[in-house]
Amino acid sequence: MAVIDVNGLTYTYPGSLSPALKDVSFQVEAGQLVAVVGANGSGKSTLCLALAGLIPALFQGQLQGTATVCGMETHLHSPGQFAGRVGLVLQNPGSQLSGMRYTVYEEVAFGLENLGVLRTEMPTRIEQALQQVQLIELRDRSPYTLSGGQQQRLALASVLALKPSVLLLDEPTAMLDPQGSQEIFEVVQRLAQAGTTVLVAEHQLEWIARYADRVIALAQGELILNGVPGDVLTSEHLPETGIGWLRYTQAAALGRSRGMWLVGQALPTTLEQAAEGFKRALSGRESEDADSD
Amino acid sequence: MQIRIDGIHYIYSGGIKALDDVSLTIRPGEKVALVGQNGSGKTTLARHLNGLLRPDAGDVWIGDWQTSEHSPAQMARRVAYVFQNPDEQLFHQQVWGEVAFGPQNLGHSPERVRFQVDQALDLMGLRGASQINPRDLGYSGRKRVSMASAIAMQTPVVVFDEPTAGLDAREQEQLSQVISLLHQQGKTVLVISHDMNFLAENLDRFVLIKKGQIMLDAPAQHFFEQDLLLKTSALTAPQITRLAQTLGHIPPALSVGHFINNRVSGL
Amino acid sequence: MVLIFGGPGSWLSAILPGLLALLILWRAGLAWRVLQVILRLLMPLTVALFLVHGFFNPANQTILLKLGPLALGQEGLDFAAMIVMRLAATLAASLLMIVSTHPAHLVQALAEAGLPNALAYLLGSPLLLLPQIAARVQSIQAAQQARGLETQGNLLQRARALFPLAAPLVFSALLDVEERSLALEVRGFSSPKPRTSLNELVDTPVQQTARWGMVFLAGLWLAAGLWWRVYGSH
Repeated sequence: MAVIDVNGLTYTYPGSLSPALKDVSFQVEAGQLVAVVGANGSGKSTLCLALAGLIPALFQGQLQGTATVCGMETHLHSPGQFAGRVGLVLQNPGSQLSGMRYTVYEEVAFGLENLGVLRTEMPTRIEQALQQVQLIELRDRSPYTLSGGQQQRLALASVLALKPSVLLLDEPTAMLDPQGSQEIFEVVQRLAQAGTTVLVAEHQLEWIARYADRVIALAQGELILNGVPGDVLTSEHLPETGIGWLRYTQAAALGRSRGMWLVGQALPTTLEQAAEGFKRALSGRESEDADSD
Repeated sequence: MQIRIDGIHYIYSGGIKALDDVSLTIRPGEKVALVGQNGSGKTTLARHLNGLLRPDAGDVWIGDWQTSEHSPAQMARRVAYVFQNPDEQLFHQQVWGEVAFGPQNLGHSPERVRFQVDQALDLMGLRGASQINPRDLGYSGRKRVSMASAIAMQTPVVVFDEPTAGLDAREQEQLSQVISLLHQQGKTVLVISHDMNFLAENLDRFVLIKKGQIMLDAPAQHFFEQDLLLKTSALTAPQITRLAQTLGHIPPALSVGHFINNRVSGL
Repeated sequence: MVLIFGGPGSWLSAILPGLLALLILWRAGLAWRVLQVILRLLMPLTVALFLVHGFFNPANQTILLKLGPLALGQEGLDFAAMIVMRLAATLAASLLMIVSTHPAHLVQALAEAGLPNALAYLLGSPLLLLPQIAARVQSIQAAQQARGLETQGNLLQRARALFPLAAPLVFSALLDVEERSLALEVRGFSSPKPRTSLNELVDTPVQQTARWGMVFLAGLWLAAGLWWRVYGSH
C-alpha cells in the first residue's frame, strides 16, 4: 500500500489566478527516498505543504483531487492530526525554532509535549532524535547560538522525535554552506536506509543522482516526469523547464555532437558514469584510428 | 577602481579575531570569488569594502578613498553590496521605487535616476514588473529586485553575497549574464559563494579564507588543483573540474564548454 | 525553580509595595541593576511630569516659586511625585517578576492555569527572540546604508531613515511568523490532545501558601484603601 497517494491534486492559493498544482498524481511506497525537482515557482513547496496536511487547512484556497498520506486524506484532517505521522522540515533554519525553549534538549521536547507523550518516555525519544542528527553533545546549548547547519539539524531532530513514518523536506540545504548541506544529506540517507519514507524537494542534483530511488519533476504546477534518477535527470525537459542538467550530463550531450561521447551510450548523472563514458569514447576513437592506419 | 586591503585586523566585540593581517589587492575589472566556510571571515572581509566595518588595524582603500574616512553611505558611491537576504532591505511598494532608492540617495538628478533604474531593470529582466509590489514576487523575484537596486547605483565595484542561494538553473544562468555584462562595463565584481560550479564558470580569481587569513589566492585553474586545501575548508571542486581531473586533463577544465573544446582541439 | 506571581493588586500607598519588591530584589542581588533600569526609564518622564504638574496643575494653590508668568505649585508637585512613585513601584514589581521567572516556565505555568497555548506563546516568546530581532535590525541598517542611506546626522535625516529601516523589519518578521507557525503546526502546536511537560513545575506548599497569602494581603490592603478613601480625612 502506498504511503503517499496523490490523485489529481489541484490547488490554487486564495487570491491567485492560476493553480500552484495542476492535476498531480503519483505514489510513494514505504521506505522510498523520492526527490522532487522543479524550477522556482513550479509547486515543490506547495506539494510539501499539501502532503504535510497544512494545505488546505491553514491556507484556505481551492483544492481538488486528493492527497492521502499514511491513510489520511489531507483535506479531511487537521494539521494536528498529521503531526507525529508526517514530519516537515523547511528552508530557513532559524524560523523553525519554537522561540520558546532555551536549550536544544527542551526544543526537541516541545513537540513531544504538544502531543501528550508521557514524561517518562521523553528522555529516550529526545536522546534518540539528537543522536540521529548528531547533536547530542550540544544538548544544553541555546538554539540561537547554533550555526545554520546545526539549527537545521535541530529542526530535523524536533520532528524525528515524533517518530513520523513520512519525512518531508522542502529545500533543506538551500540556506546552508557545503558542510551544513552534507550534514543534512547524511542524516537523510541514514533515515532512508533505516526505512523511513522520505520526500525531499531539492536543487542539488548531484546528491539526488546518487541517493534518490525516484525523482519527480514539476513544471508550473504539473508533474512532467516520474522515474529513476538516471532517466529523469537526463530528460530534455529539465533544461527546458529551468531545472537544468548536471554538468556531467551537459558535457556528455555536447560531447555527443563532437564525437566525444558514443551516441548509443546513455547520458551520465554521476562522476563515475561520465568518466567511464568519456574514456570509452576515447578508446573507441583510438582503436578506430588504429584500424584506419 | 583598484581595491587595496593593507594588513587589516578585525576583532568582533566578543573578542573573536575575525581577520588576521589580511592583505589583498584587486585590480580594476577583475572578477573575484571569495570562498571559505561559514565563520572563516569572508563576510567580515567583504563588509570592509564598503565601510560597514572598519579595520582595527591596517587600511582599506577603494581607489583613493580610505574607508575609515567615509561613512558607508558615502562608500556606496563606489561599492554596491548585494546582501544575501532581500527581505531585510525591501521596503518600497513598487519595484521601480525600490530600485530607485539607491541612485536617489546618491543625489542623482531625476533623469539620471530614471535612466539608471531602467537599465538595471532591463539587466535583471524586471522591466515588466516595475509597478509590482516586490513583496508579491517569489523569493527569487525579490532577490533580483535587490540585485537591480544595487546595480542601479552604477558603482565601479559590485559585491554579491551568496547570490545563487535559492536560485534555480535558469535564474543562475541569468545571473551569469549579469556578471558578464558588468564585467564588460569595466566594473570590478566580487562574489561570495559556496557554489563552486557557478563560481568556476563565471569568475577568474579565487581567494580562500580560513580562520581570518587568506590561505590561497590564485587564478581559478590553479586554485582547484589544491586538493588538500580545498578539503580542509570542506570545499568540493566543480563537477566538470573533477571530471577533467579524473580523466587526467591538465590543467582541468572549469566549464563544460572549456572541457569539450579543449579536448576537441588538443588531444 | 521558584515561581513568583506578583500579586495583581492595586497600589494605593505606592511606596510600600515598591520597597518590598526592591527588598526581595536586594536579597537576590539584583536590586542595583533593576534600580538603574527604573531610573533610566523613568527619568525623562519624571522631569516632564514635574514640569507639567508643577506649573499647570489646576489644584495648585501654594506657590513655591515664580518664574515670570509661570508659577510652581506645591500641589502639582505632590501629584507628580505620587504618579512617579506609583510607576516606580509597578515597574519594580514587574521587573521582579520578569527577572525571577524563566520565560518558558512562565509560559508553561500560564498554559497549565488554562491560558490558551497561542496566548501563552505570545507572552513568553519575545524575550527569547529579542537577540534575533536585534541582529535583524543591524542587518537591515547595513543593507540600507549600503544603498546610500544616512542613518546618523541631523533629525531630518534620521526621520527619513525610519521607514526604510522599520518596513523591512516588519516584513521579515511577518515572513518569519508565517514560517514559524507552519513549523509549530508540524510539531503539534494545535493538537487537540492534552499537553504533558518535560519539566515538572513543582507547586510546593510554601509557594501555594505564599500565593494565597499575597492575595489575602492584597485584599486586605484594598479594603483598607477603600475605607480610607471613603471615611478617612485627606
